[in-house]
Amino acid sequence: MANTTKKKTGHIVLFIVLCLLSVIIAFPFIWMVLSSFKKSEEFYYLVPKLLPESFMLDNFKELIGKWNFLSYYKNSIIVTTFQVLTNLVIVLLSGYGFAHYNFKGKSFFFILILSSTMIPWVATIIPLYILANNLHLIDTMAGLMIPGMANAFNIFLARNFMTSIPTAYIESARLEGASEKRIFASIILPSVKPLISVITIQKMIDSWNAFQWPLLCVNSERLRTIPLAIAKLSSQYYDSYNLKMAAATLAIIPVLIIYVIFQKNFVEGISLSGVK
Amino acid sequence: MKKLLSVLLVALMVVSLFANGTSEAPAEPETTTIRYWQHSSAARDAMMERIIAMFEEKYPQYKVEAEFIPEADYNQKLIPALATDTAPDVFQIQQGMVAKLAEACAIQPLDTSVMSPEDIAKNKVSSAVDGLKYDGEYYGMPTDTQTIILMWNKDHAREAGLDAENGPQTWDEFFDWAYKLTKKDAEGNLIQAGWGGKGYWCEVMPFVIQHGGKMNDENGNFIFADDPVTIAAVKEYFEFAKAGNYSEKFTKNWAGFRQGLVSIMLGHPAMIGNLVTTAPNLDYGVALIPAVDGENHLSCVSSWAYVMSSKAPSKAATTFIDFLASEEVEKMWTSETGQLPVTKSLLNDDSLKTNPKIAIAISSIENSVVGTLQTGAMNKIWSNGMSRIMNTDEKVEDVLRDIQNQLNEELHSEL
Amino acid sequence: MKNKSLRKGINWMKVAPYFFIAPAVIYIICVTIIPMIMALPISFTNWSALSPRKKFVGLANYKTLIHDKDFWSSMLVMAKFFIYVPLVMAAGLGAALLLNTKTPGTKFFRVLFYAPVITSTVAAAILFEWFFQPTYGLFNAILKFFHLPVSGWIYDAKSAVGSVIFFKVWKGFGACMLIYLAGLQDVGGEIKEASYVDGASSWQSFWHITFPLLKPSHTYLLLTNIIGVFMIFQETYMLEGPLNSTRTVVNYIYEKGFESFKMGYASAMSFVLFLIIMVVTIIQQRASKLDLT
Repeated sequence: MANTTKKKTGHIVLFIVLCLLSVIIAFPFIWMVLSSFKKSEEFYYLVPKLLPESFMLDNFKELIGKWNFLSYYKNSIIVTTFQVLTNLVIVLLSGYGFAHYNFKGKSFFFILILSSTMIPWVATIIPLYILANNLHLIDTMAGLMIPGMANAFNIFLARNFMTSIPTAYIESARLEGASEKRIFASIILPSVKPLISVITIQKMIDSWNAFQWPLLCVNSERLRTIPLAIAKLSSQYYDSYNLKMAAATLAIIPVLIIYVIFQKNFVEGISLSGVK
Repeated sequence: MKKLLSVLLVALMVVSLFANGTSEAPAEPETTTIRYWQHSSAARDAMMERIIAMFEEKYPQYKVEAEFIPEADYNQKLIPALATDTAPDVFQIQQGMVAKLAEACAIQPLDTSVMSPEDIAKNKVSSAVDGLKYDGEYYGMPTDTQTIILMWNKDHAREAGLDAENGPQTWDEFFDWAYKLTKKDAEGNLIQAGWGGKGYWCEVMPFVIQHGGKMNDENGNFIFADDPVTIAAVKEYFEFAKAGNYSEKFTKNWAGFRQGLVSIMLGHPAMIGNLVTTAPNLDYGVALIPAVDGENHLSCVSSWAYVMSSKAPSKAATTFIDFLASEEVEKMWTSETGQLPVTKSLLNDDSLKTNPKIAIAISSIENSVVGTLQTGAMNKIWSNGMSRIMNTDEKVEDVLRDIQNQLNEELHSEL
Repeated sequence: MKNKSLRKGINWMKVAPYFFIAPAVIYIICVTIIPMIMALPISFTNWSALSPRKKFVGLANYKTLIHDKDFWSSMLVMAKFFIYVPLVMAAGLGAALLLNTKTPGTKFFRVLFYAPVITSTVAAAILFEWFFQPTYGLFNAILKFFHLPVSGWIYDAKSAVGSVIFFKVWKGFGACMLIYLAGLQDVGGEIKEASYVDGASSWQSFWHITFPLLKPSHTYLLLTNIIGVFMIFQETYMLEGPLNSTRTVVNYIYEKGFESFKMGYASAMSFVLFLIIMVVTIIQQRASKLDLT
């Protein structure tokens, strides 16, 4: 009895702490959303106000009407969907390969993959452009999508997480005569749901916000993605902060949806007494 | 897994569909297509599209394919294209880049059969086009031309009992205003800065030249650190800020001007258009940059340029540039966006001067010199130096010597 | 029959891993390794990238770099950012532990805690510029309210790096939290059992059971965040401190390559940085393997 009341007060204290922390942490996010209703001049006040002077929809109307903002969703959705899927396939396969097999050249290949993250983009972006240009991929959908098909850090993450799957499971399945393909599909994949959620969320955000390569690769309007469209809202002498905030808010919606869906895979594992 | 693969397959099919869609209809054999890039914003695209339509109507043998690129990312987009020799036929570039690109043979001179050098010299303001010459030939035409003008908060001036309508005419008056408009609280903390100068090269350069100093020699090399008059002028420029009357820690200068924390600014006429939307209630005055003697309001010109790549069809590209720099198009820019014209005949065109602020901005270009720090890299070297003068105890002479060396190195870096 | 399938299995066992890693290796080679191999010869030229013309200059770029004070000072600036790694990992772990309980509304809080990651960087930078503003900014207003000494934040060369780190931790801890949350899923059941059996205190069970079991998350976050610090560019590009106080090595490489048009030199610096990161990574991998056993 005493234990449950203790637990209850614990939950209440934690709930209050979480409320306070959330407000502080999410404040810039909340500010961004509220700012998308503001007029341009409100961004230049000495002390900015949290609430807009009036909740006007003009920014959204201008974006959707005049700048045809929603039309860029199509390209962004195509590119992101494609890259999230290819990333899942490439990352899960190789993560398993690195985690549960011993083979010749294992550490060489692993370091090779990791080494791709160690060179500044400044050095490789022009060679990549030269390559794409020689293959006539500049200003094509394929050229836009290929350089983001997988994320090297995700491979590392998958390897790390998959090592914690007990080898015994895999061995016993092998002894029962299951093929390597089947082991991967019916034992490994179902047991790494949290991992799948993490790499889906991470890659989705990555691809959705990708800017550098699309900037170089895309020349025509029909391939323009959302980040490129947002960048065009600033000019040399004038930033339309109001439109930018509204655009950023609109752009966030799909990311938010994906995050909410996939984080459901993390169940609240431990009761309060376990970890506090 | 199977589900994943099938979704992937569908995605791939969608992709190939799009890839097929990219093949373009074969162009009519007799038309020449001109690819054109400019830095711009959504707000200016529409205007440019109209101009292109006008051009295509006037010259049916040419077709223009334009792309508009965000200003902040323009170099990142243009350089890989230059590196692979796939730059568009006509593009915009910062004025200071013209010499570098010409030296690298990335751009070619304007076709003299379309635009004769004599006509250019006769019709255009010299401080706007002289910087576009390399080895005696014109490589481009100016666009987005800016000078330096003076702006002040009229409410502050009235409150301090100053002539709010006309503003300071000489530099003595200017500094007198700046000190009078500076307010501090009892503990000596700033509450209002009379002037927000922090050494932007566009304003230091005319200040130095008006005071008899030199920035460059005849060959364009920087010599300011060798010239005692220039050093003295730079010291005079910073006296106000160094005495604790302005710093970025108090406020950023333009933000402060909008918010009524900074009373006077020197700046580009483009700010007139900016302030309309960002500070609609600010009551401010505009005048020519102050003059040492009250007469010679020498200002400084900076601009971008339309240039053409070395592979461009020379006649077609020059014709397009000629059209973009024509009186007709310049007039459109000025009347709709307040951009300064560089065609001499437009400087006295009363139809462009209905807005008194714009009228002053237009007249500022008549007495001006070519700015000599017009690349991003040089601008950065200079402003780092100025920041050192403002925020550290380093000697002005030493800092100027240091940035002079860096600037000359930047100027002559072997390509 | 059984024997046959086993033999088949063994053969398959030998080639299987190559099939599993092939897509990743091929992809990485095409998209990063080939461009890297293409970039290496550039570092021996004086290429401006303003036209295809370039001249071979041998080791000149590498020699210049040794005496380039700005390069080494930008390395030093970057090195200061390593303090970010423990901070962001600790914040991420703390958040994950707080949000891995059965308190009502946890799912909702997880969204709010993750909000910084998905907030547009542009929007966040605009807002933080105001937070950091010394005279009228939010942070100094709070400090003044509690009668604490105020700071110049990013507007002061001394505190600029610290301010950017603060921004980065705020923006980045949600990503660490996500990894730890996923890691906690694996250890959840075991912890519960173990702590019930032992009757261990919360702290003990955390320190002796949860923390070591999160090892896959720790090693991943440590390595990726360390590489991330070497590569810092975006945040220091947007929130720039005075007097080059926040100019990191990648910022400097960018300046030389895309602003001063010395792409040959920029490539040379990139490869020096690459070597340094490679050495650090290998040392770190060795170290983490050691304490695995």
